Amino acid sequence: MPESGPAVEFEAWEPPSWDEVVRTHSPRVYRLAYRLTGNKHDAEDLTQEVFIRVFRSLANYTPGTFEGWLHRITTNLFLDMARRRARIRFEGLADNADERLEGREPSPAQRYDDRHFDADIQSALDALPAEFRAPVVLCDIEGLSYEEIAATLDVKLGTVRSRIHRGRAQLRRALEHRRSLAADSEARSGGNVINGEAE
Amino acid sequence: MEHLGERLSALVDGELGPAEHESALIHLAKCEPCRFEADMMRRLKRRLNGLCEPEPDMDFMGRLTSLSRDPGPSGRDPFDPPPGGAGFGAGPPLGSSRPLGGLPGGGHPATVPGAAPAPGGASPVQPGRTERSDRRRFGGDRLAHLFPDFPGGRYAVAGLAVATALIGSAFVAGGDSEEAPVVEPRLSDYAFEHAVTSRSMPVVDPSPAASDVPHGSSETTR
Repeated sequence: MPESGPAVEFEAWEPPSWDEVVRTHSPRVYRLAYRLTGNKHDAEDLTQEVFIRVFRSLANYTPGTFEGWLHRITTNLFLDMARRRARIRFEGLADNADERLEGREPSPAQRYDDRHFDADIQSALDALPAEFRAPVVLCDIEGLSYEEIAATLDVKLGTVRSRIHRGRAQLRRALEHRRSLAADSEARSGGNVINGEAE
Repeated sequence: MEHLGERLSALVDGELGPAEHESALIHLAKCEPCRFEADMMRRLKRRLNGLCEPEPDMDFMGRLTSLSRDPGPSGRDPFDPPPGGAGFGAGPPLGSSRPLGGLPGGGHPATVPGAAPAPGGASPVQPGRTERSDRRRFGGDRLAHLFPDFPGGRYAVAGLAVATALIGSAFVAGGDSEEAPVVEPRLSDYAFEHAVTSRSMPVVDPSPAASDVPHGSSETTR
């Protein structure tokens, strides 16, 4: 384990200390990463990648612009990751077994607690293609303006608008679908109980 | 009557211009289906916004914090690419194979700190010309001479055996080469762009001035 010595010296010449930067920005970055990736494991990986870049750019730290830059590299790294995954899947090199292990689908036991709603909407988000997910997350969860999103994603304003619109439409469809599935399985399990009693 | 379509999203997000906003509201007043759509969209937006905020756990925060301290002479350097790999850009996708980040600092098996720079790292500092001057400003004069383009910088830094220098500039000198350039805007570039986008900085935009002048002069000549 490293001693505290180097850290102290480090703080002495760098305007914000690294601890400060981590404390101030990591919750935000993590939250965005979580909403984009849909699970803790990938969110941590993504956040760590972001902070590696933050560390390298610490010399350019300016409080006002830093937050936006973080949004941007987080989103860009995510999109990059999503594209590479899609490519690898296409080439048939990777199985997505470990993705299933992440537990993206809420367990039946969780269905009626509060977190169920979160899990539901998160899995609907996960089902969105990355290109639509990113603008919706940036707009509805992070509260960025279309202009900021356009800059973040490096696309035109009109593209942002149509992607948000289409993304939301898909989200709604996915949520409705999940709702009807849940209703179905509920009805079915109810039916099973009755059958069991009959037997 | 044409429905609002995409304009509905923009309306809900408060992103329509005044005229469009006005006409969208007029349409809504007359159009039941669009009102319904707008309502659903607001509900969805509220639901997304109300998602509980996942917190990074303390372990993970600790790992992030230790990113700045790890590269001790005997420790592992979390920034070093895994052997044979070239960092995030070229590695396997997150979560696809190895437990990336699952093992604090030890995810990359026994990387030797200060070992040979990444294969593509012939010119370590090439992408950030403007950034280098900034680094000088913040990095202190003591380190400034280490940053110019010479590939041995990393070794020179290590030779100083100053822990601070090691931490601060090892990545600066050796780390840039492993970045995929598509991924990030440089912070220095971003800062400017942000200022322009958020209009917090007067943009040197020639068009208003240019259009003002001829306008004014044509007025006076008239």
